Amino acid sequence: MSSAETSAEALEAREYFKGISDSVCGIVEAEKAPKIWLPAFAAAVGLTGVLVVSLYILLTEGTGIWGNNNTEAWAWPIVNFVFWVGIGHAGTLISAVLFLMRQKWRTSINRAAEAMTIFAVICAGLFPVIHTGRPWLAYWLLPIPNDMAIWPQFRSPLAWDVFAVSTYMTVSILFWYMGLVPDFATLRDRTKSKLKHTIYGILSLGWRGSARQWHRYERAYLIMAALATPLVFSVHSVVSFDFAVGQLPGWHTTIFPPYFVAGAIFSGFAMVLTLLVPARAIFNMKHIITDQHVENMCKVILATGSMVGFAYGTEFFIAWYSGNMYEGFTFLNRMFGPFAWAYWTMITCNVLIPQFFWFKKIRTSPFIIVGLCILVNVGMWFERFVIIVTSLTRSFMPGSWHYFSPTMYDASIFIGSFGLFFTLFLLFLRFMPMIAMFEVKGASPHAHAGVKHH
Amino acid sequence: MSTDKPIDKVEDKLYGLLAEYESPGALIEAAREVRDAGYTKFDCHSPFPVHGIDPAMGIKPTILPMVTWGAGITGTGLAILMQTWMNNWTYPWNIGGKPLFSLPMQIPIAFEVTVLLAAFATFFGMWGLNKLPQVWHPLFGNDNFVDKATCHGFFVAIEADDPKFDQEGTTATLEKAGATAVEAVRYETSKKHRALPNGVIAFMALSMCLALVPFAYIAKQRASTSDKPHMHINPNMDFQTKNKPQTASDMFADGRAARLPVAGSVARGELKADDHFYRGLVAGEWATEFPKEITLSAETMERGENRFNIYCSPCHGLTGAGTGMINQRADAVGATATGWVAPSNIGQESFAKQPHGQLFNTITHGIRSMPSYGAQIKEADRWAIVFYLRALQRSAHSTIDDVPAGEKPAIR
Amino acid sequence: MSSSDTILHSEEKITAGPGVAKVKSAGFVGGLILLLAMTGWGFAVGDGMQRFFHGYLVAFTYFNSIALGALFFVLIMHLMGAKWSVNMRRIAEILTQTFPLLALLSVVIWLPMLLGNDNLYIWSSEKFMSENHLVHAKGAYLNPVFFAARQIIYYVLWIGLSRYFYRTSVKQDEGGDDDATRRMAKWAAPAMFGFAFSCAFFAFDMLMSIDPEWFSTMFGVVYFAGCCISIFALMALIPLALQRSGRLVHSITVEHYHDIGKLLFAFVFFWGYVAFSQFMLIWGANIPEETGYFWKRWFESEGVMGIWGKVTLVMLVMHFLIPFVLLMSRHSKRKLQVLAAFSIWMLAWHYLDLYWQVMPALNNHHTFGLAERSATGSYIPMDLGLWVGMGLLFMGYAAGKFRNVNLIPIKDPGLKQSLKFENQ
Repeated sequence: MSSAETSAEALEAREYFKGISDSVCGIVEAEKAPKIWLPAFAAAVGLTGVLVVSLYILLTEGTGIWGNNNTEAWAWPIVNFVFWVGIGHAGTLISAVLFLMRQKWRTSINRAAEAMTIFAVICAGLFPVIHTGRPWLAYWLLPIPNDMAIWPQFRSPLAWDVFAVSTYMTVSILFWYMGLVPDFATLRDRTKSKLKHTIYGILSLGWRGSARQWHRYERAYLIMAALATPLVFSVHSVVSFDFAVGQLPGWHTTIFPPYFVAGAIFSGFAMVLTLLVPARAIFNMKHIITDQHVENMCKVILATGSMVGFAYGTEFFIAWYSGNMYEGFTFLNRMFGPFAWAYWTMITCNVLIPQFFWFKKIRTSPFIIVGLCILVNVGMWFERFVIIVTSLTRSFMPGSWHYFSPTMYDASIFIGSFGLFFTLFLLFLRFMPMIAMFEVKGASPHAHAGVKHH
Repeated sequence: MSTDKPIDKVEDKLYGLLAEYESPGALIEAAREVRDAGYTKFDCHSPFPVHGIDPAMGIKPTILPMVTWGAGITGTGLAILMQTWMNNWTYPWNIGGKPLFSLPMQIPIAFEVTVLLAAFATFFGMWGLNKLPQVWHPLFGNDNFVDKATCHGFFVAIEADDPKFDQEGTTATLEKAGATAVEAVRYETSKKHRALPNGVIAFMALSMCLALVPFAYIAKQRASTSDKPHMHINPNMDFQTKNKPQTASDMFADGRAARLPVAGSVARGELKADDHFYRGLVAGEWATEFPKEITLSAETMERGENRFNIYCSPCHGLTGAGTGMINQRADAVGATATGWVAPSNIGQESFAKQPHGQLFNTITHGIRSMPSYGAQIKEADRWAIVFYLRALQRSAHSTIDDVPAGEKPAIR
Repeated sequence: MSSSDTILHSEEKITAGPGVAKVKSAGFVGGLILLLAMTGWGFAVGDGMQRFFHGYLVAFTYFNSIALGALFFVLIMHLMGAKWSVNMRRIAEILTQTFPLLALLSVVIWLPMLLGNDNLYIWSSEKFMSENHLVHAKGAYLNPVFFAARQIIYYVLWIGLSRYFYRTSVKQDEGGDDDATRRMAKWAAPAMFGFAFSCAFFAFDMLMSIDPEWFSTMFGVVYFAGCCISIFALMALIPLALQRSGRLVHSITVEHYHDIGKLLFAFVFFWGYVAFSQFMLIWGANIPEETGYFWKRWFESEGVMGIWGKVTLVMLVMHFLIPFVLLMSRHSKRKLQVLAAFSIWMLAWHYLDLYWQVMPALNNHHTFGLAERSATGSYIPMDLGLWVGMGLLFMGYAAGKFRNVNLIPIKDPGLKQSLKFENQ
């Protein structure tokens, strides 16, 4: 290669890098948000208002305002908890598992997916806390020395949940923030405003991209990914233990841990697509989040949806094979009992709907993708509903059978949690680098510009 | 310049040389050449980690994995210890018949804590090893560096402290390695501008103070007294619209909120249908046998002795002769004259002839001035006492011949 | 070499030498002799071949797990469009060609049962099924005829799938048809469905039903984890052996072994995860019809830990903790001697895993007074003999498949990337 060619290659690479910084930082630096951002944000804040009001009523009136009762002690709040935790899983999967598997396409979406994880876990954490009835005493769940000399009961999966979800939250935030630091440094170096310079300066910790720092940084990133991978498996496994350690038919089955994990990834990817397919159009990010990336995610949904279908099948077979009449009844009740509509919604949305992703045409039409992904998440919400509510309404004692009806507050808190989620996500899109710039740069072929092979 | 004031003289010092390169590949080559030239205090800067730069610069693998390992193992150990200590030792609590030390059920938390500590160690360890956060660095004074280093520029910086550093020679080395520009970086020696801005410090101090407010409030509430509940977050939980015992209600004719059970109700476990065990009767007669629930063993005997000594001996005395503490006191204060009925001597013939069931009945309901013990002593224990009474009665008529041969000398 | 390919190193030997013929005949002869000898010993025990069948089942499910693992390897790599592993895929493809042998070997499990020998699966005994009310409902599933029919279905499916992927890939060697890769990727997805269900149900039938009262939805996944451990161990060992004999020396590098090591590590962890979850959920819920399985594999009598309890602990340490801790390091995956040692290690403990699943069931028969109890340590050589014998036969058969075929898919469009592959 002649030196002129080398220079041309280097120039092209530098322009590419600068282009990435310009388009990603441009969103944050722009005076005005895209037209659709403000109405969307207003709507999200409005929904958050619904959440706040509902929570106020809940706290002053007590959990009696929900549809929960003796038969269905765990109803919507726990359904929503499992739903939101599940949504969160895709973020960690994209950022950690795909990183370990060297799937370079992840770099375009991992930042947004990680943010989504954190916001989803915030929404998830809300529900068990308010479900305790007296959330101001939720710290009793933690092993804090107290003058009654009592301690949490560690043989209960609910205590494991506290540790699993809080560890997950903490590690996700650390991982996310670690990824943001070099990008904050980019923002710091670009800004002209003194205030912004100070804020980004503090957030970027004085990062200057030295090779000796990058060396430790990359090692730490790899370790964090290696830690987050089993962590993400453990979190939803522990959530599944909440059910499976018990003896209730329909809850106690050994395949729950991997089945819940697959379901979580399934719903999480559907949520990522629901968010990013519109976002990349609004913020003009199609050159970074490419069609190929969207297609890959559709395939992941197809694969995990099939795994979930596999687990449904196995569960069903073993319920019969076990010869346990309660177990068998629970599954027949799911299919033909009073909640059969929920069961068939679940099967349709989780097993049949993803099958559309076999077709390339569908994997490349944004509107259909978003529609199908929303249906997938409807299905995943109903999966948790079927597991929790249907099993509880008709358990061992026919005397306590009951039909569950939610109240207005069940719905308003759940819908309100979407408001909280979208508020946080829209703020993130507007004020933080939504794409991991340094990772996109490092994963591009331009990162090897001018490299000689020895 | 004719002024009295001393001139504001900015003292500055050479930090080193900063060279820019056009591509990641060029940076690697330059790093290799700089290292080969013998420099040690130099660093490369790039907007993303450049692969292949570590061997070129001769960076040794970091010890970070070891830090992670150590923290992870500490986490596992701590979590197991914590759970064992809390659920096994200080607060042992039977849950569903699980062993107090249930290792399988400790694994999930042990795993989570392992990951948590390992992640903390990795995160903070990495920043610590990188000597970050850092408020100030000489390179931030260079405009070209600030413009490009985190965006699209590739730099090598050699510090003036390096033993091999000399401005001209080093410049030549850097240029030979393909630098597109080499410039000297100087920095002000005054430390004033290296501190955090005052606004930031004030903000941090203020938020720390505000964070303490809830704790201060709780502390105050805990340390003061009041006849009302200190914190009333959810009044609904305290003032529930429900009927409590001993309150009035319009609902029922008798105006009482508390209801009696339906006539003839029997509470669970309160049927007590077994006449023999519960009343000492067999076919309407005093039972002469012990009920089948009672095993006549040394254990039952000990239990009977134990109960007798607690409930009976204050009056009847430890030997059953009717000479207990209370009787002694009654004698001492002359109560016998005013109607004190002395407790019976259990060893006397008439009691020895009474069937088991009758003794049992006496304990249950009392007799003459002896009160009823049915409420205090459970049925099985009453039978155990009867069993022990038989032993006391036997001993009341014992002779030296009843003592085992080996023990006789001790008694004489 | 049929075509002059420029991607591969010019001196690369990509066909197995004449040596495999020797391996083939030695394997066949040694294997058959050993298997026949063990059959003779099995007869001589006089327990209606009970011990023989149990030992045979362990060996059979062991080698079947290798072939299933190989099929999974082929399918998953197509499905993911993985490029790094293209150079190793042919070896897995060849290993999947052992299904016909395994189909033949499976006949020994179900044919005697059809002929009335009820000494392996207790549910094949009518006395048991009529006396044990817990399993009445399962009679429709657990009966010799349906069992045999299912085995035939599994093997038809597996032979069909493995042939399709093998032949398409071999054909690509000649024509260099890039479209073949796309076709295989497309068919890998539905094939994976078939694989998942057949693998799980094979495990239910062959291994879970050995304790017919017991059931666990996770069981298929645990067996699948074992399949993956055995194939990733072999995918380190076979290429190493080939390279020692001078084949593929330039095409498989430490980078590929590193990735195989990572996968081995991942599945060691996965095995621990699923096996632990299965155990913990059953232990925690403490429902008698479920705990019976683990009771047998822990206690000798009420409150007294027996030999199987010790085996369980050995498994925990050897099959999980030691490889988990030591394989975590990058060095142990890149140092080929260490990786090879761990591969052999895992292959050995995978045998114990299956042994632990099958052998405690010997006492079931005793409890029901159906046959003489032959659950003593003195027949361990017979179990091992069956394992080694079947292993030799398997090796011989597989060696035969290595002949006359390229050891690397020379015309695969992903090969170029695979050869250049480097871990970051």
